Amino acid sequence: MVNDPLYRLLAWLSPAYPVGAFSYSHGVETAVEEGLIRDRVSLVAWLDSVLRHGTGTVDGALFAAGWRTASASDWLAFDAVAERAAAWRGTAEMALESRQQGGSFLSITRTAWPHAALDEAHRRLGGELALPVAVALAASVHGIALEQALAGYLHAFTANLISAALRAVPLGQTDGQIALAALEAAVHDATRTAIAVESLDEVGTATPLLDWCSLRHETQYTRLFRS
Amino acid sequence: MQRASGESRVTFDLRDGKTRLGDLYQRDPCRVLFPKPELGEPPQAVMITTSGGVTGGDALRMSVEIGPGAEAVATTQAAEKIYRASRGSVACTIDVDVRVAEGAVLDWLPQETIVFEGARLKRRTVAEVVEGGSLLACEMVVLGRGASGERFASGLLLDAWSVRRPGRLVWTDTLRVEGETPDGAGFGTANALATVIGVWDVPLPHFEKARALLETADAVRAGVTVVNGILVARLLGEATAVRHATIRFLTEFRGRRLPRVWHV
Repeated sequence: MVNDPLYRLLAWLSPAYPVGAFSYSHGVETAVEEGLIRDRVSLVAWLDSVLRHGTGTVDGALFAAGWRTASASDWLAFDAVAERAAAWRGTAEMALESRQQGGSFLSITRTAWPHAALDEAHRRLGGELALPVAVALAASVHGIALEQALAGYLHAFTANLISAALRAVPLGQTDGQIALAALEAAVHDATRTAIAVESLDEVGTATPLLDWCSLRHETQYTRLFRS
Repeated sequence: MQRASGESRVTFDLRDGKTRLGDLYQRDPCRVLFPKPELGEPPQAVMITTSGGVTGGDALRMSVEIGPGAEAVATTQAAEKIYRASRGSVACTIDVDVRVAEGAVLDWLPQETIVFEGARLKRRTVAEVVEGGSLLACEMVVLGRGASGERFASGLLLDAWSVRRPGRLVWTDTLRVEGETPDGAGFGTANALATVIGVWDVPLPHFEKARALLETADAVRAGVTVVNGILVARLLGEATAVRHATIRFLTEFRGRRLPRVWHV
């Protein structure tokens, strides 16, 4: 049987993987509304901080911890990471974003790329798993290396938020790709930093404006996105 | 310089229909005072750091436990100052442990923590609230002494919060600022952040009240959510503005004045 890790990773992290990523902006919609993201430069600055000092840092560290515990088949430790990942959400909408996509990811992946460990995690956790831990689990049990899987995950996260920004700011498709190119180093650094984390106790965020945007989004008058 | 290792433990219990002080343990530089509460108000515990501030290598532990059916307010006598760490010293640590039993009520309302330029602090707060218990907690951190023109250009603030229900973690978050805050989604021009955390079996009415009050907050960026059943509100801005907005919010939200030490 063919077993190509890259093929699987590309499939799972493609915008076509039906987890509903397109419906979440992770606060970007409000940041645009509030003038915190106005153009390509401010978009790159925003996402750079989210990757290096915000969600990228926390979800990256949770991803690495989930991947490692799954690789060791230490399911008790894995479930502790999963519990922490579910609890570590700043706002209702960011929790929804992670929980809904994580649950969908697990369910679709169990069907299309079945593995006993996915079924067991689904049973133990009642089908609820934060997105970074769900992807880390699948990557680990399907033999995808941590660094590639996490870099892919953070790339997909970044590309999805750029795509959301393009719809909210008057920015063209090319601008979006220029932004993605400009964030290559941030994705790379966030991946390396997350892999080097020794204890989740030492990880945190310095992005209160991101949390504030997500809080404000709950009452934003016109909304295209669910977060 | 001698490193300080202080601890305070306070418990309140319901006896003969009234909340009374249960156990008390204190070791310098941690002390606890019990000012006479105003008429109709629950008992108060006021935490003090007698050294006047916290510096590199200090380790402080505080715990407050409210027994079944009891009600109390705990606060700090003054803003906690975290001084610049000497070269090579390890971060100071503050560990706060809050326990609220069934039917018990705690307001944990310490005054702000001011992290001086070059200071290094790791603070961890763990709250365990049994079903039927209520917790309102508020913590405000200030980066640098902005009033004296000080920027927080180096140093560390790691401020970790966990809320547990028996046997499970329901919410956690960690602020980690190392040196200058980032551009983009960082602090903007703000140097202070207050976080309000509320735990109730039925959070919705509290959330609606909080949201209405925060809609009118002046000069700060404020908002509130209920995540995993926990109310979380944030007030971000310049330190004086955040302190004013936080006092106003807590006063109106609780429907009573903050402990007297807040007003001195």
